[in-house]
Amino acid sequence: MSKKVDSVVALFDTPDQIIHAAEKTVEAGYKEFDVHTPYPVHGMDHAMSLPGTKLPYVTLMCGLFGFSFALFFQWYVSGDPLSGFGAKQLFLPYWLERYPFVIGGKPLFSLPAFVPVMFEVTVLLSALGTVAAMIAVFCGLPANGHPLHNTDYMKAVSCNRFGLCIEAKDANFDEAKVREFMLEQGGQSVVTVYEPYRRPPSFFSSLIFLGLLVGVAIGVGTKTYIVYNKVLYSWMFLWLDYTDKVKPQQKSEFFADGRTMQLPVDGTVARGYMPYEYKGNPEGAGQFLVNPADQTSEVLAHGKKLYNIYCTACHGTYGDGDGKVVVREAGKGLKPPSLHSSKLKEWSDGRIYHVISEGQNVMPGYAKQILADERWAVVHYVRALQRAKDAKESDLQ
Amino acid sequence: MSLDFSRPRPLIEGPHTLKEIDDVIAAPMERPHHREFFIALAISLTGLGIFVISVAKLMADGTGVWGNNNPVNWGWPIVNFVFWVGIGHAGTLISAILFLMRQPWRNGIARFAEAMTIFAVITALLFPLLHTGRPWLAHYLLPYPNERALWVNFRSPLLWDVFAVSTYFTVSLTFWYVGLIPDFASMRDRTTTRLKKFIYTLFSLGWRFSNRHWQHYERAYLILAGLCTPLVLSVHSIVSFDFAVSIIPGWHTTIFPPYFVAGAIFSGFAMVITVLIVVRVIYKIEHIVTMLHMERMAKVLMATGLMVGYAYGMEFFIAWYSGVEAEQYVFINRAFGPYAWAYWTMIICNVIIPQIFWSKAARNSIPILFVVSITTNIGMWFERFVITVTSLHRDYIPGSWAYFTPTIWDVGLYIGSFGFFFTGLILFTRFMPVVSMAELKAVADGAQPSHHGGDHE
Amino acid sequence: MSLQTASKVWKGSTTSNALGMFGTGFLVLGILGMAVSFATDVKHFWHAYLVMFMFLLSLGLGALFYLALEYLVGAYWSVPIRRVTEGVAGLLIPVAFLSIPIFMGGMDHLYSHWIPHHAHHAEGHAHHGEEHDKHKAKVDKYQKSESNTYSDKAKGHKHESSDAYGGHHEPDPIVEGKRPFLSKPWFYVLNIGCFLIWIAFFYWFRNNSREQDKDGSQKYTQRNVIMSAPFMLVFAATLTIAAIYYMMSLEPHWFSTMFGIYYFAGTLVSAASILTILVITLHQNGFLHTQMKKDTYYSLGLMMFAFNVFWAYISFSQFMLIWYANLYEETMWFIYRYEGGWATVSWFLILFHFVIPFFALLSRDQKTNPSRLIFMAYWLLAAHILDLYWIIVPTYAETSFQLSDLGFLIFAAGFVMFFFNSGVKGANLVPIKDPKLEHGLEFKIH
Repeated sequence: MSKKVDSVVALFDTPDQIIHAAEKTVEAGYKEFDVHTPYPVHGMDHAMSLPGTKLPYVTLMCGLFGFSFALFFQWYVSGDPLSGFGAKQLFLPYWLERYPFVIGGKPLFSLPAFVPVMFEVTVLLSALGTVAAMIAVFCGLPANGHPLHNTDYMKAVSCNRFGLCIEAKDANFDEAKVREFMLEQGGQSVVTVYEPYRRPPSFFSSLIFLGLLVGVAIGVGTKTYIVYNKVLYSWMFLWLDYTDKVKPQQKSEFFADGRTMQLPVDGTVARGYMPYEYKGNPEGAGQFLVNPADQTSEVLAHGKKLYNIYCTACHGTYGDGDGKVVVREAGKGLKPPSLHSSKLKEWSDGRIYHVISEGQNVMPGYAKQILADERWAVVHYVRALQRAKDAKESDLQ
Repeated sequence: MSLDFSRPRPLIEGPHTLKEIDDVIAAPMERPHHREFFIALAISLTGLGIFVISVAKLMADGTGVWGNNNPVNWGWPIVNFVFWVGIGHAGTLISAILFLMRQPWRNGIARFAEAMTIFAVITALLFPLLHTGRPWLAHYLLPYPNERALWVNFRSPLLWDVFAVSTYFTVSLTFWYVGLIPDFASMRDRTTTRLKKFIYTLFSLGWRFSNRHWQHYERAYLILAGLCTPLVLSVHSIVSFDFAVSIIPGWHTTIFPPYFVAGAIFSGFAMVITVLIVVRVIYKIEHIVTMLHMERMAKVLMATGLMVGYAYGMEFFIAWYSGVEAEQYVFINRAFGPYAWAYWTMIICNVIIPQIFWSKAARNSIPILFVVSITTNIGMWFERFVITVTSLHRDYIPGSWAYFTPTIWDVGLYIGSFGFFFTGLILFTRFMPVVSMAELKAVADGAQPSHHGGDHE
Repeated sequence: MSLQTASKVWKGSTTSNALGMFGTGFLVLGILGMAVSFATDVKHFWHAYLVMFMFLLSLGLGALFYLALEYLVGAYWSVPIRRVTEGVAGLLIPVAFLSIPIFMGGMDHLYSHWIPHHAHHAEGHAHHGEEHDKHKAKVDKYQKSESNTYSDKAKGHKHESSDAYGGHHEPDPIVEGKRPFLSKPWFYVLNIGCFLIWIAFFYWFRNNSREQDKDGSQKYTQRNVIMSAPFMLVFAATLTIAAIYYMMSLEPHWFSTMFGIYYFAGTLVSAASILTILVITLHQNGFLHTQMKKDTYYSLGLMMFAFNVFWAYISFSQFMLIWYANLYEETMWFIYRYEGGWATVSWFLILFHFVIPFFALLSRDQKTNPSRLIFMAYWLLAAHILDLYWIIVPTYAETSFQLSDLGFLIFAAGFVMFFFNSGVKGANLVPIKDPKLEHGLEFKIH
């Protein structure tokens, strides 16, 4: 008897028998025993007088942790939680940086929007925690090296028989007595199971497994390195960065003159920049140009705005030729004519427009500063000033 | 009336010993490869090939190969995503909700439906990943500390989706695996070849059917079922949030969450029926997956179909009742606009055809079940199409109104996704027990003690 | 079988007599309280009345739903308690009479937002105008803060319509758009129709069940099974109509496709709660089958728990979608409840209706402990009343509770006691010859 006894096992045929046998085993005072059935038999917990499982507490703990962690995490990441403590000045490692952006008009802390993720994380952690605890803690698995494995007994209970097993660890264990007890209960194929001399190498502790782990680690590491440093920079993933497009200053292979950005066709006019036809021809302008702008209050207001910006400095607010510059620089020959002279009153709109555009004497042209349409608005305003200076009775109506 | 209400109908037809149950279920894994298997695999691999080609084309040329346009920015990829996630729902419903409701008939079909869930969710996940255009950067979707100091936007429903679908996948996989542990152990003790023994040993974790373990195991299973039930509701609800939190008329409506869930169960059950009709014949398990199962699934199909019909009606009524013109327009346009064909296909397939199940004879007829389950899935695909496309194709600016036409690559990806799904499912039926042995044995005749030992009175 | 002698006879028992007596007393007390309320604030009276009416309606409807559900899904565990379910579903008949005051006089106070104004009394009108100045101010305040334009026309309507609230005789274009539906004749026709349908189905289910007590024929079960599926269809439609008419149309501009389901969810919770209270009390006093186990309590507790979570899911979804999209035509309903005094009630409701019951009913021990179950059942009934209060009352007032509201509670309690007692008198409290009873009694959670 050099072999060490692990347990004595017996097989039963019906669930009723096994329930009965389990009850008797408890009555006989055995503590370290087990019942093996191919499926959970109702009422067995009671027959074996097992205490209830504590598993739900694990679930609850995991769930509460998941819930509060998800809430905290979303609050931290989406919000600006530390700003109130002057944390802005703190140096935070990149993985502690927050992302406080208002998105979709929602407040930084949007509880309703956080609920779905909170829920999912709660469920995820509860489920994984429960299963991990069930397998590893409550059942002590994996246990491929258990002595019962690879016995005929195990083959029977994994299929259609019901087995009772009283272990040698039990204080009352006595091989002969236990065998007798089993036979009394109607057990068949009563067998003593021995611990192997050398436990068969447990899969998870074996060198093979260790080697496999190392292999997987090296494999995953290599794969990750190659993917993130080589594959992701290969043409397949970068084609969006290198499409067949041309940039403005590049040399063109396509056009004969080598320019990527081709010049516009001769005579092209930019929108809104019609060339001025009466350059150096004030009389022509006065004769042929017609004011295209309507005399609406908007146009006049705009004209007034521009006049006040560009013209008042010399011509004065009311066009009397007494602008700030003229007053300050008096005696330097700066003498803009009044806009109310009869000469100007007789000028056509086109003639005034020409002066604004081209300038006259000391006055520079304002074509660069004021757009064509706007110059016409200024003309309207000048007319309005002229009329206001000599308002007639009829204007008041 | 020959019906007897006094006892539930037996779940397994004919007397079966526990050993026979094992033999029948393990048979597909033990007999040599047979012709049907290779034919089925060849068909599904062809589909998978189409999928691979379509993805390759997509990678090479970008998402422009699809028919998506402006304003229909969400085309078939999202339709397919919602479709496949929906298919995945029946599995968890059968395994979790029916488990909690103590409907033991679920035991015959739960394992298979769960496997369907797993593969359907994987298939579904591919579509949004491909739609991002750069699936290799998918990890940007996860909140992890990164060198760009960027976090994901937790206020976006699309991010909730990332959490919901990946949680759903993980938990379903866990649930499925927990159910498989005792069966792997049974297979470990049955099998004769070394390689199989090694693999089954690895996955069975050394399970030894101890009642000290069963106690924790059963409670863990119950808890998982309890967790899966709200989870399954939440997943499609969150998918529906993708649409419903926006202000697009036709998308923004409060009934969307339960309506999507009902639709998901509807299409999922239809898919379970379609596939089980074939599988039960090929693997000769007609006495385990009986007509009782088929009939009950037909009832669920009709019930969920009516729920979906309720939602259609409610949406129409409230669109009128709301007095919001844009809302009213969308629904009129759905029914009578350019996509009326899709809308009426949906109504006929989802609401009208399942009404045939009011007849008991129809519920017990395999050909009718098969046809209706397929039309249901057609209808449910069109439902997602109608929701996505008809709401988008009439933009706020009439100038950008457009008609959406899929390209060959849309079609290829869609057909290919079936190949992807079925390849996984066929391999599953070959290498894992299609029906849970332990659960089925527990509900077999005489499997439980004649009067329970415990007394709670 | 010793099934027939297994329970005490209800009719003529002291418990039955006491219940009838207390019920009558409570009814009288309640009517007195309601009279006080009517005399002090007629508008508040009608809103409180509607809360009580919807509460009692939800008890009856939920029980009727459970009754049909048992036949539909072929459940066994609920067979021993089915007579109690039938008794609660029987409340629908007296509840139908409670709707008469609403048709006769309450409508003009409750649904003044959509009832054409010429229907008002001059006195009521002045009062009404005052109420609506407040309402208008709120709408305007919100619209000013809200630049999110969905449909310009609808927005235009809003501004015009707020004049209509002020008591002028201009028609409200949005309400006019709903006119065939929101009109008194249709209100009468559809709601009376709903009640007739419910009561007809109730009689069908109950009479077949009672007939079975005589000869135990399975054909009665078969009849009920056949009718249970069409019932579900009709039930979904009628419950939605009732919920929209009685509660959603209080604020006729607001709309939510989820609303029918929202009321349905509350209905299931409250019916499961009242069943829990009645079943446990009756069983412990020996009126139900002695072989029935605590496992049945567990099932009832599970129903309360599960449907309460369902209620939370539905109400959160409804709120979240509206909150997120932030369209004024929907958000205004929540704004009343999101700001000011009602915000406190809203937060309290989340705690009271969901968070606390969730944890209180989470564990299996809680669901098998009779006294805790009864406590949580009362709790959930109170939560459901609060939920209805939160839906109904903010549509007209910022003020909330008044002392005279207690009268309505007392009336409701008396109503359930009195009519439940008289409703179940006619038959055994256990369906003694139901073929499913024996297997139902074996029901055990494992």
